[in-house]
Amino acid sequence: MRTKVLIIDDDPVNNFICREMIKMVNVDCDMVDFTKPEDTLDYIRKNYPIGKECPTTILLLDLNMVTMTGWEFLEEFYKFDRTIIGKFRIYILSSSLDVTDKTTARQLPLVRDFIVKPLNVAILNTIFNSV
Amino acid sequence: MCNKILLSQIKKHLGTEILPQEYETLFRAISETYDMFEEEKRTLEQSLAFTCREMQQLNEKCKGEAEESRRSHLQLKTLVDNIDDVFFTCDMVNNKVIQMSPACERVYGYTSEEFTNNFNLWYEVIPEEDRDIIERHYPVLNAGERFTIEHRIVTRTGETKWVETKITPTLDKDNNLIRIDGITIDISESKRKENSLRNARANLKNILDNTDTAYILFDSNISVLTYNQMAKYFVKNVLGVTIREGMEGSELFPGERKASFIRNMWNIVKTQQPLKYESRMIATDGAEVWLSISKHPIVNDEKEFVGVSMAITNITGLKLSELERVKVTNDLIQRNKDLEQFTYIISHNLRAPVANILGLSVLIRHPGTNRKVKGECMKGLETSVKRLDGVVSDLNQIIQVRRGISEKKEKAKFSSMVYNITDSIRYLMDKENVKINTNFSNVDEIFTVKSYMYSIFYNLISNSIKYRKAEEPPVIDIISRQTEKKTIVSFKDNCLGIDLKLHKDKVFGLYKRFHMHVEGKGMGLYMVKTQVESLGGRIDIRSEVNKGTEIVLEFQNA
Repeated sequence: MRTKVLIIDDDPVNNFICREMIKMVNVDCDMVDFTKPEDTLDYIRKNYPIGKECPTTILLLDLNMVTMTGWEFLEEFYKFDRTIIGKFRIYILSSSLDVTDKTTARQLPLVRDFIVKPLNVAILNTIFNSV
Repeated sequence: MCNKILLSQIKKHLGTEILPQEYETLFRAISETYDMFEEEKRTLEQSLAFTCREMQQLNEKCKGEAEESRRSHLQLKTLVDNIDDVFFTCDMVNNKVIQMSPACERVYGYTSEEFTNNFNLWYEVIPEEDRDIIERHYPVLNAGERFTIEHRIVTRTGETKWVETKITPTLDKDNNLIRIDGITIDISESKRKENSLRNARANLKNILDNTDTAYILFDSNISVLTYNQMAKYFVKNVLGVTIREGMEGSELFPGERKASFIRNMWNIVKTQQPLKYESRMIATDGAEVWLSISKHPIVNDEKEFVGVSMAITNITGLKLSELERVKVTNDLIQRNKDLEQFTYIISHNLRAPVANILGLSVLIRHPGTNRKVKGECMKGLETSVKRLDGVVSDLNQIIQVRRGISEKKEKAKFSSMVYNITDSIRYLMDKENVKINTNFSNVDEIFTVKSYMYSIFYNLISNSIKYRKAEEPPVIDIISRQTEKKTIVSFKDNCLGIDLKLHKDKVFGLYKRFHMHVEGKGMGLYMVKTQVESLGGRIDIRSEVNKGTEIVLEFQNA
């Protein structure tokens, strides 16, 4: 199955940058972006049915969003079935330079890394190589 | 019977003891005379011997008495000489010192002779300032009454001494002063002790009366023994009672304090342990008073409990400043938190468009990027730069308010502010059928920075309209009231409301938004809070989803 990339950020410019950067590293994958985390939760509910084969999914998650923060999204996300959660590689993608944000994020289960915006080719290569 | 002496004379002269008959009668008569004479002589001799004996005895007795008198006189003299008190006698008719005991030399430094030679010497040794003490007593003296005076003397060596003089005047039958007898006693030492004791007492009293602490001493029955000036003042002004010695301690305390006072005191009596605590009271004038009270049991040398000392210090100033300090500290902590949050948000919101610009510039420079994507990138750049500019100008606005108030405070009328605001948004008001009810009857005026107050009112009114329910026209109630210290304005609406259980800590946060269907930056309530606080006020919110929101503003009265 093709690798899937979900991008969650209320800033559409960031989502555009992420898409174009991923195109630059020439990886065969499906990309979906969301400006509302709530929509992402709906998308997972619909497209990741329990007991069926699901794609390995890279999740690029912003923290500072108006309707729902990245933290709040993760709280909801952890309620999914363990088999589904297991398919996700979660990366926090934030403009924050705050050290506490970084350490808090790294302590969360399933969060692979904390990436400071903007996303770049070197990081994307590391991410896709780990899949 | 014949007189023997006569018989021997007859024998001597006649040569015989036998007398002729014719002389016998004569002889008998002579013999009787002789007998009588002899008898007489014997009696005389006897009485002479007796007299001699008497005289001898008398003589001896006299000799003894004289000796005794001499001895006792000597004793008396020794005694008088050794007494430090000066005895004196003056003849007031001839103005002569009759006698002055030698002790005068020890007391005055002048000899008895000097006093007897100079009748005025006793007066001359009295310093001028004390002479009126003597003069005042002249009438008493002339009335023949005894008196005692204390005065100073200056001795021969120039030393000043205190003496006590007791004088007994004697008057003749015409009530003329003829003689005075007196004693002068050196009382310098006892005077010195008395003075130092008096000074010590005065100092102690001075200390006790000039201290800020009120002291009340209770005896073992908890009755007032004594107290200082401060205690008198305190009891009068705070408790509204006049303290007096002997009154029961419980009488000092009004109403509900009485029971706890008695309980406290008897606890000290029972445990013999001191007690120290702080207490808040309302004085008779209604002012709040904070007191530090310490009660100590008093135990005598025999370890018997004899009473309780109570020290009361007014710590109102201290306490109020402490409470004020706690309040200021809490305010500062809150402000610091706000500032940290502010810095965090600002750095976040500045960093986001910057990160975009960085990312977009990488895409633009990449050789593989086509024209279409480049065009998108340019649009993204524009958006990001505009966002950056927006954050910078928000920042500027916030900092201006936060920096403090440079504008002058003036009177602002709530009613005219509401009128001006509704007038400026007349179109919106009509379109949404907004109803604003105001009640400024209690207070319609506030001394404030007008532009801030206007902005606060504007933001709150426009928020209510913005977050109105779709099916219900917005109704806003604005009510003001004034208390002794504060002016309170409440804004209450019937609009969407905010779930405070979820968002209580974020509701006044910068760039925080709770309703996404309406355009907004998340600045409104943040700015309202910042401005209210800049005016030294407080803001509070009560809200329920779909029921409405009430915002309450509190400002200290000028």
